[in-house]
Amino acid sequence: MSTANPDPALVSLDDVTYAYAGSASAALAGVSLEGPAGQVTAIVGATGSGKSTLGRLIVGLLRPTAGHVRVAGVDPARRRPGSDGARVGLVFQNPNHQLLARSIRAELALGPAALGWGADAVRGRVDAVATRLALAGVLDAHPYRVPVPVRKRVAIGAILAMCPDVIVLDEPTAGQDRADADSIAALIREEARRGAAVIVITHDLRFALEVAESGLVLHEGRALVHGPVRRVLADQATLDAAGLEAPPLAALALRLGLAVPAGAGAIEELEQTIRGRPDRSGPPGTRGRAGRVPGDHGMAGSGGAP
Amino acid sequence: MPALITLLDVTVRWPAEPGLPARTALKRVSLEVAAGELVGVVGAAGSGGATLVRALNGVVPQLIPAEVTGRLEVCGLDAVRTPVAEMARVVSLVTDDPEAQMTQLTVDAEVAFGLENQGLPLDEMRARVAEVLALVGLDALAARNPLTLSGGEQQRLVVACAIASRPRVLALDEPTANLDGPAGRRVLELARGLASGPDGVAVVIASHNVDLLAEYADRIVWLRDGRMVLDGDPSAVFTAMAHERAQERVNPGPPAATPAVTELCARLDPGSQALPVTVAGTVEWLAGRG
Amino acid sequence: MNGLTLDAAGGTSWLHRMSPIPKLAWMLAGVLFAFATFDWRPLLVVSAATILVAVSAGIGRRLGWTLLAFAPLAASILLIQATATWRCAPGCQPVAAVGPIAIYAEGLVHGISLVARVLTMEAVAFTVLLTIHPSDLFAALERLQLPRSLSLAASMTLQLVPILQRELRIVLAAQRVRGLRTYGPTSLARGLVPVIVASVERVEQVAISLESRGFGGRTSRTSFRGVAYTRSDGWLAIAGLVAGGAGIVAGIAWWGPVAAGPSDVSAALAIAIVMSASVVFATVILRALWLAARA
Repeated sequence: MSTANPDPALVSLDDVTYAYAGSASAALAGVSLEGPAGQVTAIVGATGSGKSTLGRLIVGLLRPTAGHVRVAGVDPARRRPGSDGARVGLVFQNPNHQLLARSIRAELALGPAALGWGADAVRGRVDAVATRLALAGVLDAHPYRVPVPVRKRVAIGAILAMCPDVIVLDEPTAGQDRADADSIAALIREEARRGAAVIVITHDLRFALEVAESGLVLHEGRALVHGPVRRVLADQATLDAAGLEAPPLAALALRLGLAVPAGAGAIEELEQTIRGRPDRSGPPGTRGRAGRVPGDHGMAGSGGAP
Repeated sequence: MPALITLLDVTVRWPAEPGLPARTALKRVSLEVAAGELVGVVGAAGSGGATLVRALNGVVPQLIPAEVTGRLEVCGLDAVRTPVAEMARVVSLVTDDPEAQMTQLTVDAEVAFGLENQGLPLDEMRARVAEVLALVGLDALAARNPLTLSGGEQQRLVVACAIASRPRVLALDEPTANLDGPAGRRVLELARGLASGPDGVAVVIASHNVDLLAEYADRIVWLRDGRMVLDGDPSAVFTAMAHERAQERVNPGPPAATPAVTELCARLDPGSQALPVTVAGTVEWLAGRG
Repeated sequence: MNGLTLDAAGGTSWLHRMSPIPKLAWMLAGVLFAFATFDWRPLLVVSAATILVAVSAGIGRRLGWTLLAFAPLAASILLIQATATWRCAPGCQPVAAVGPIAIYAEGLVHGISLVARVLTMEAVAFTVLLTIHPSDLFAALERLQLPRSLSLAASMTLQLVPILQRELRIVLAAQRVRGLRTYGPTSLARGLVPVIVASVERVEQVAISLESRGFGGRTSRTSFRGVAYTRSDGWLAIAGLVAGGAGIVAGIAWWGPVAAGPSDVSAALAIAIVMSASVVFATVILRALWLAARA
């Protein structure tokens, strides 16, 4: 993974400390992080561990009290919008905080237009993003008139429209159901394949194990461990120290003394491990190869208390 | 045990809005919940769980306008027509955004608010506030401004407010949506304690967090597009759900979240009708298979 | 978390412990007296006495900072009044001059009396408000038979302000990340859209929450924040109201506008007062400019 990647990390934090004005204790203390291009890095921790602060430092909304933040070698807080150099995007937890325009089309166009792209380029970009995020049918709707999961996609689309080199997502699965979370996971992986450095800030460890290659565990502003996600999110001692809970699949693997599965095909992976067949050559993510399924499970609306 | 909640052929329809056609949120749902039961309502977003929970104290249709047909009784009261403020004597509702449920300047006053509305004498009010704050572990923060609490503390405060009035029915919508694992577990533990405790509260929780529901619920109600797909014990419902997922979505509509361990077991044993839904249960189940 | 969230008015002094109702009565008395009185001398006596009370209650420093915030206003009142001719009889003579600017004794004395009135009102009001917990304030208002919904609306507004401030900060940050301008009227207007939407949604949610918790039902409410209110508190409140009435009468009868001419104020004193007001004023302007340049 990271050893095979010759590029220096697109995002790098070196011994970063940040204290909010008027606060006695630091929100972050001596945190270092590498977020290489083409990789998804998960930052996990309990509420109040400093995750969101870290995200704001990466996009340059905050400047560290001590230490350095570099995005493509440049201090993101000094970067001017529309200038050359790496573009950085932050998707906020609450999509309402981001939505400003009167239509979803205009919302998606705001960022690219601010970058100084021509009208045709902006239009093309908006159409491409809308198609990718299944927003083509609602482009003329007001952002606040669509359901919350769609709003979330609009907020993500508005950032993706700018073709950012670095994408930070703050709690992308909060309030989303499993299907929506899965589609967000697929988008994140696509962006990484395109070459973006993606940083996912989350307390949803299941999601972190599903999308990320590497992980950083924060606790009370300090980094407990930073490394491959299978290692750092599968260590019971680390999770206990961070006040986190292993997601069920990982907890099961840990209980059974098996390797913790990760990625989109985590269930299939654990299935193979349990069956004692280390053969993982089959395409991951294929469902329905579990064999014959009996036709009737008593699905018809059988109500009534037991 | 007699049912505290009775839904008989309940249909809820949202009126048409500019740009949006009329939509049915619940379709002929029938359900009974007895005292002491903890029932989880699951399904994809928009499948009707949030509506069901908000109908239990009459917020739907009285404050969120909708057309309701069928019979919906809670503790013998007609929830469709009894004013919401009267329903508050027997039902407490908790929704997903704790900040929007706070109106007072201190934590203790927030808990007391519902008791003031019931006209409780001051002495009893003080005792109850102290009791529930201790129960949810916020007794040290009684004098704080609720807005200065963390997300997990705020959610526990909202639960404290909900249980201070000693309701017979507790209705929760996504109570763990913004909480990390241990904080979410704590809320479910509180709900479980109320259901199993001496007062035998009937608890209904709509949530996407199926892993927690699998551990704490007595029953799961599975909704899809407002229709009840299945109502049964967690193992039966989640097993059916996991098999359906494995069948590549034979049925129309978005897939519901399924506990990951049940999905795994469904792949290992496609024929079983009663798969484990929790980690501990799976360990046992696997050991039993040898 | 944020500056505006009211922290509990901390303190256990005699003034903090006192029932809010007589305190509110005396606050009313002080404000009415300041309204009715134009003579700066009794006003300064009352202000000084109030400040002594505040110091004895341990809030002298907080009151000092609060009053200091009004220094620019006081300075501009003094400057405008002292250099304007409209207080003088036609043909009146300035008492002194700083360069081309003439200083009139009539205006100066009038300015001083205006500042003394503002000072008195603020000293009295803040001494009382800083020693009442907001919840007790609303409970006291309720006790005085104001409708509960009114005090509830007031407390909820107090809570909404810091929330909206926070929302606006986040929204502006979100714009900055997208490379959008975050200053000037258009971007502020754009930033307000999500904040307004959020506050409308919040008010709807809060309304649902209030009724769900039994507010507006038929039962007559009780109050959790029992406001201490004894017989002696009652007498003290009545005494405050009587004092307020007496203050109005005295102010109108004896302490009307002070007639002053150039012979009543020495030129040096007039220049000293005007120069100090100018320094305060200039400091404020320069600080504002510096902050604007830095942003």
